[in-house]
Amino acid sequence: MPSGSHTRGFPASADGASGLPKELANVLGGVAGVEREQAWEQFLQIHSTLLLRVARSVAPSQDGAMDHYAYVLEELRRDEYRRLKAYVPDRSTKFTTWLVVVTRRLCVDHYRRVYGRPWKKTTPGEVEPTVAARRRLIDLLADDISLDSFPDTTTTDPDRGLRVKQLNEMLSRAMGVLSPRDQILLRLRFEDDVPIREIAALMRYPTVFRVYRRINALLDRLRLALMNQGVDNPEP
Amino acid sequence: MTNQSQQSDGHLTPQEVSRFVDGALSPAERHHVEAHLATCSVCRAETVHVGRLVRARERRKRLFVVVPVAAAAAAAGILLLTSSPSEPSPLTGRVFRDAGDGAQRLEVVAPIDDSTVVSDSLRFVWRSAGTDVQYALAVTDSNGGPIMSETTADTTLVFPVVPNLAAGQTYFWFVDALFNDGESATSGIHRFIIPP
Repeated sequence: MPSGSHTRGFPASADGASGLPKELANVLGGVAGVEREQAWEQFLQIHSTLLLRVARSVAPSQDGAMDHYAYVLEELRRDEYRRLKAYVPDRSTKFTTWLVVVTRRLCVDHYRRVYGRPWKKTTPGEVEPTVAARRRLIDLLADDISLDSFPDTTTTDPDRGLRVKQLNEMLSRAMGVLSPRDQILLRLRFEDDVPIREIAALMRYPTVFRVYRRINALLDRLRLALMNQGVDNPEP
Repeated sequence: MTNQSQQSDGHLTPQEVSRFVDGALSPAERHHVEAHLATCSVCRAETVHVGRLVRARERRKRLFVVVPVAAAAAAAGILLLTSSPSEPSPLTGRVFRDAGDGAQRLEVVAPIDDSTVVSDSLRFVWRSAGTDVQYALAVTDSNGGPIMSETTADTTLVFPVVPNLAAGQTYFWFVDALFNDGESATSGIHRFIIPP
């Protein structure tokens, strides 16, 4: 997982001219001591709700969220605010979005340290990768086949397993010729199980209908590509 | 600015992720970032999660923007009621629905609208919207100026000491339910009065 500690140049002067948010410029530009402590308090006054919300979205419990929050504050202050210094002012994007990314990465790192396993967001609609992959193929090849009828990739039948592997390889090849943007679209929908409305917002589609239409067009292309490779049935 | 390569662990930089989520990438940067996202499920999951958090925050900010309008609408409604008691205030409802993105409403329990409350024992209560939900409560003055805001997983918030509440003034409050999937529901705007 990314650590969020990527370091880039930072304008020497942390004042208004640097383009930094005022509360950040005060923290980074203040003289160590009382002045900087006050600036840090002001920074927290403005952003603590946001930091806490991110912590809550990662932590499994309320207590865990407070633990993550405390860790985030500690890490943001570490080494003379090294992480905050990595922020590059940018008129076209928001400091708060950047702060969400950095905070989330810290929380995810902390989760892994505390629980000893990678953090993974689970939602009611989320499905296991194997099932998601199968559903992807079903959507591509036969909409009316139920999920259960499609062979499990964990089958112990060697021939069947080989055929499933070949099918997945063919699918990967077919997807590989699509543009990255189209690949993201399909993976968000069929591998990551992201709702269409969210995909539209994230990928900057003007409406959800555009997303539906694009996905349908891509499925047609993939179906044709697979058929050209001799696949006309999802059953291995 | 961000057309540098990925960071040392091979993933996108925070700047690239935030610019992607904010839709601020140049065509060249977008090409680079999308090429990475097409094959990296970790960064894809990150952009989805960050996008959810950012959009949920923007929805809450829109609510704050709407509050002054709603306060004005409430005042207009009072005037309408004064001049024509049989007519409801259509403006308040319309403004509220816009603010809530058509989401379902949370049912509030206390304080009931226009009740007088003692400022040193402010207690807000609403009905549960389900399990694993965060609630964000905000109180504003009649100009929409934020007085206080707080988040909780409980359906009750008690403020033992509340500064800045003037005697004889009407204040507005609302609570949003923030679901795990980034969706939200709102109570709509309610009122209470600090006694003279």
